[in-house]
Amino acid sequence: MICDVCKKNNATVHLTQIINGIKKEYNLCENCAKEINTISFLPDINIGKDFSFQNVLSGLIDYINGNSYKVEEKDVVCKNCGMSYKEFKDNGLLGCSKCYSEFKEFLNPMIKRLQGSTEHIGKMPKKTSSGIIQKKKLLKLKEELNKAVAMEEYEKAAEIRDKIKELKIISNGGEL
Amino acid sequence: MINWVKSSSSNDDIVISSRIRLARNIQGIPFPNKLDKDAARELSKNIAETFLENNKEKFNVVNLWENDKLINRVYYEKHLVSKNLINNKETASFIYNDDETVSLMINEEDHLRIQTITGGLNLREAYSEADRIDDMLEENLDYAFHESLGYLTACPTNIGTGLRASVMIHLPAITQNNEIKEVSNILSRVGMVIRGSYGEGTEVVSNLYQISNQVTLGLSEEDMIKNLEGIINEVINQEKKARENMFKNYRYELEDKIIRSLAILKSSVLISNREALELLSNVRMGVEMGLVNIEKEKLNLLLYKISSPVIAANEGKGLNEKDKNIIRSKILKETLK
Repeated sequence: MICDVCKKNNATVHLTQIINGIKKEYNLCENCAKEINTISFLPDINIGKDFSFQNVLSGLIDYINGNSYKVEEKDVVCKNCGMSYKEFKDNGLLGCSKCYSEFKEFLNPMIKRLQGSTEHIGKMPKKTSSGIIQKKKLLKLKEELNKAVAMEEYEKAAEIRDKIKELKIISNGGEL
Repeated sequence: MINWVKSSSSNDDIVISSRIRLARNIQGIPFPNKLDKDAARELSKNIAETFLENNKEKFNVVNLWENDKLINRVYYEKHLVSKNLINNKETASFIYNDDETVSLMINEEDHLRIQTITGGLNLREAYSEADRIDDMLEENLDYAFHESLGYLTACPTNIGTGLRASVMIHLPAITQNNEIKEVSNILSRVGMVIRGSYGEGTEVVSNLYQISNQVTLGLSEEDMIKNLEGIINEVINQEKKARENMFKNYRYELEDKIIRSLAILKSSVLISNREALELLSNVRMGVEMGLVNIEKEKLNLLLYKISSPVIAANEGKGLNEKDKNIIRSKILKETLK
């Protein structure tokens, strides 16, 4: 048996700790046991080690996508950087920003699951943001409009409609 | 911003430092894991030059590949660079200021990681500094950005804001009650995570943990920081409650443990890093509870000063474990006298 703390030496000390009825067992080597004296705190051995993204990624992707993509995903390779989807699954890292669109159909459901959202609403680079801000504003207003109509708040709805018109004129009759 | 070591936060403050990290990549260039060595070093040079040209404060540029392994380890012990950056040693560089509050890591997992660290619970100050640097760089660099996915990062766990806000917090009582797992479960339900002292995949030393946001997409930076602050305050309350109970029920045992710990630290002849950090946690708790009086700055400083890499870097390479243990005892004695 290997020591739980250093993961190197043979465990020769076996320690059982019961706190509030919860039993925990530790197998330690002599050196580590010496360093963990009785009053001192036992370190929580597993924290941060099991739960790294890379470790759970493969399982998560398979779980979300079911088996339906299994055959296809072998073939997907990013044209820009040569990263294969399988490679990504193994190390959890994409090869370039284009990978996001190349692997979109597998990635987006996973991102949704991981992040709970697929819509960025934070900071944007000022250079690229003006057009996007316009679009997002419009989208938000349309949502508000639907809500107002549903609530039968017609006066408010008319106000929002005017705002949308204004925005569209500014952005050159921009259709979404 | 004040360096976290020197920060003179109030004694009962159990948060050691607050850290902000923004992940950014340059448009059109493969992420570091797909970038060959020459291109990566070229990129590193370009980012460093762009940054230095546009910044007034004095900054230092360090290319990890030019350095001895030991020197790089010292930067890690000081929380100036991450484990990942050291793993990418052949292509990685970083830029830091003299106060050691700002560190720009280049060719970590992403092209650029802007990191700011300050003392105590002070995420907003750290964020506004990171934000300022980000704005400045953005004027001169083209970031990879996607309309709905936000800032694109090598790992999908960082997309969106690219923001990781974290605090280093001292939780001896929760740890002793074996409640870290529970805290961890609760945090994961609200999109947060608790990790070892040096972040992902690192072990817990001296009962110091990092708590940070896990979700990076779908919330504004402001909301992420606000949520984290709320959670941290909850954890602080829990820890303080646990300490009060300990004090109420085991006052003499507690005092004994703290005073004894201090006595050992002040009088040992040879001591391992692990034992010293464990004892330092007890002493820190004593300071935080008003049971002993030692400057926090000294305790913060010791966290890295007695680590094996720092001792080896200062005292010479050929030291064996025993030599280091002797030197460690001397440093402790001198600092705590």
